[in-house]
Amino acid sequence: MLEAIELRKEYDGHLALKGLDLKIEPGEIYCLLGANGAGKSTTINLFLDFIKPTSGRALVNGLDSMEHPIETKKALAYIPEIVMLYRNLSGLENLRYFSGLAGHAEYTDAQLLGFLTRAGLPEGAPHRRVGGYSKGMRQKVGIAIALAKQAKALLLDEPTSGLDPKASNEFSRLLAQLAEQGVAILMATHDLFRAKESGTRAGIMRQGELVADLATRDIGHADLEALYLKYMLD
Amino acid sequence: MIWHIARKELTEIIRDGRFLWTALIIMLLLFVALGVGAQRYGEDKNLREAATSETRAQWLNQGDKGPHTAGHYGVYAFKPATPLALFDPGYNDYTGTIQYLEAHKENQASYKPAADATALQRFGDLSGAMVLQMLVPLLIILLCFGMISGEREDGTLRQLLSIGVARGKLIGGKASGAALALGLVILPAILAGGVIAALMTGENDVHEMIDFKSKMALLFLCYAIFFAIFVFLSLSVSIVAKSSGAALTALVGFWIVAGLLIPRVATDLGKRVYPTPSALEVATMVEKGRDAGPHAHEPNHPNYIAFREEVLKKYGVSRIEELPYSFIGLALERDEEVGFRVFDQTYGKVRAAFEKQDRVQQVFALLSPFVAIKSLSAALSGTDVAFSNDFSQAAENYRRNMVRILNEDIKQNAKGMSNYSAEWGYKAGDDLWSKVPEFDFDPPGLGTILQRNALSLGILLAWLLGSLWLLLFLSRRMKIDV
Repeated sequence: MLEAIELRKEYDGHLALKGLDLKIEPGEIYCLLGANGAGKSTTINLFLDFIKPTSGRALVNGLDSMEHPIETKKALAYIPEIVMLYRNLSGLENLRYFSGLAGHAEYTDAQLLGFLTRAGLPEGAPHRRVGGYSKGMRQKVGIAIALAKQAKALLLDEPTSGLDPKASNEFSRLLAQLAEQGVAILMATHDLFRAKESGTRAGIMRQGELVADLATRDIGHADLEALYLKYMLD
Repeated sequence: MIWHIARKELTEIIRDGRFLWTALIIMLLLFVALGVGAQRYGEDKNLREAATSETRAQWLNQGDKGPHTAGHYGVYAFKPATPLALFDPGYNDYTGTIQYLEAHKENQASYKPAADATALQRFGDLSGAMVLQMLVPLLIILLCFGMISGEREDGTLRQLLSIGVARGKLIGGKASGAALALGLVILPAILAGGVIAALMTGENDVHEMIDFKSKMALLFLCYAIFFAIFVFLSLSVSIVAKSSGAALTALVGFWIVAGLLIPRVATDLGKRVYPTPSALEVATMVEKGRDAGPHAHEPNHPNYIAFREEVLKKYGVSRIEELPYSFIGLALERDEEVGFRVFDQTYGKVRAAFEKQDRVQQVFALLSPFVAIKSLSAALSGTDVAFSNDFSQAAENYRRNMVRILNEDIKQNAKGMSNYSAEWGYKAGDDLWSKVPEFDFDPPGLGTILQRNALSLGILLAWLLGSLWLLLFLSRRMKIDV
């Protein structure tokens, strides 16, 4: 579903990504670990065609994201660390706007409210303006946008940082549900615990290189942490 | 899709308090401007109609007198106005409104309202056109400057583009949203103002309504284009600007330079490159030219004597009483003919200079769309300099016809009389006065206006296409993050 082939990105001589090869199948939750600047966000931005690769290809559903920027994005949903919404619109209006743009103008208000409830937004909140939402509530609207979009792949850039443990746990359960439905998920995160809990695979990146790629069920939490630290220290 | 984006933009715009207040102020100004314009137009119209019928009645009922004496009393022609003048008074305050038509002289239209205005009034010339030309672009800038840069700063642009929206559609939706908001402000004010104006001004002379509907439609179209240019430019700047603040500064800077500075420079430069002769020079040229005429009122002038010899020889007689026409009639006729040539030459030069100045000004529209819309708006509203020239020339043609009729009458009916009797003894009556038709002036039709302003219209269209191209070009290179 998501595939990086020899994906490389240079900025003014600085190498952000050194020929990444990665394949994420439907139903997989791939957790990308690594320090800041390791190339995690760069990878996500390349799949989104927000930046152009120096060489190599980022494929979504078999299509090159640079050559088919609109079609590939239709298959994707993106949730950043802080979901940015229109302050003067309510949560429901934000969702309606983004769903309409994604080509789902057919949703009724009841259906849209259903997505928001499923994403965990408290009752009453959908009709209030987003300006007064907490970070967690905005995150939930972001999830609802992804749900409503019926995306085949999710790109998550540190989605749980700053969420309280309960919200973070609910978030992981939602991801697991989506994976069961055959969604491919790529999540950049610092949260080793979350990666072990909800990920099916984990990769460790360092200075633009994928230095480890393993299945989470084969490794314990402590081992994962030890492995991570080992790569960081080298 | 574009409609979906436009509707969201409109919702956001309406919920923004800044827009609400600005829009209300602009609506109010439009109302007041159209109301005041209608009142002034109505007053001028009543005054003009009353004065026109009075001058005509005076002419017809002047009783028995010498035709040439009547020519010296003369008549007045009043410059008409189409109802669009209430929307755009254009150059009306600076061009004359009344032309005195008399024997021997081509007068220029006089009575310029600006001459009577106090210095303070010059700041207060609020008109519908002024609001649309100067204030609405500011409103557009306010609406659009942050449409892209603001989303980039808020991070919503990332979210938006990750959804998979074509950038062209996004820009189209934003532009449409701005257009909807603008329509909400302007259309009700224009419609209501128009209805009020129509009620206040009442019925119009058919002559003033030539091509009125198509002129109004074109005026509407020109303003729509003008506003679209501002939407496109504002969005373009919003795409490239580093921040919303920078976008606003750049756009307001453009508004000041293009809206206030360049139109002034265009006028001044036109005058400098193609200077008009001074009033004194014109008077001297006219005086010199007319001096070559027969001096019909000076029997001892060499030209008079020479003309008498010429005429006597032509008809083979020895005394003027034996001529087939009245000599004084012939002399007056010759005097006028010499005058026509002199006036055509002298004032022709002045008019040519004005035309060249106008051309220079029209070219300046390349630097500022304000220049183009000012010219087009005044031309279509019948308040530009060309309209004033048309009126002056129509009045002069009327004068020439009038003196021809009068002189012809003297030629025919005072023949055989001595010069003294012909000039002071012979009297004509009501029959002759009614032979001179009423003054009537048709404002230029749409075709003439288009032909005269093709350059402005072309440049305005070039601005539209140029700004649209720029916007589409930049939208493909839109930066996603700050």
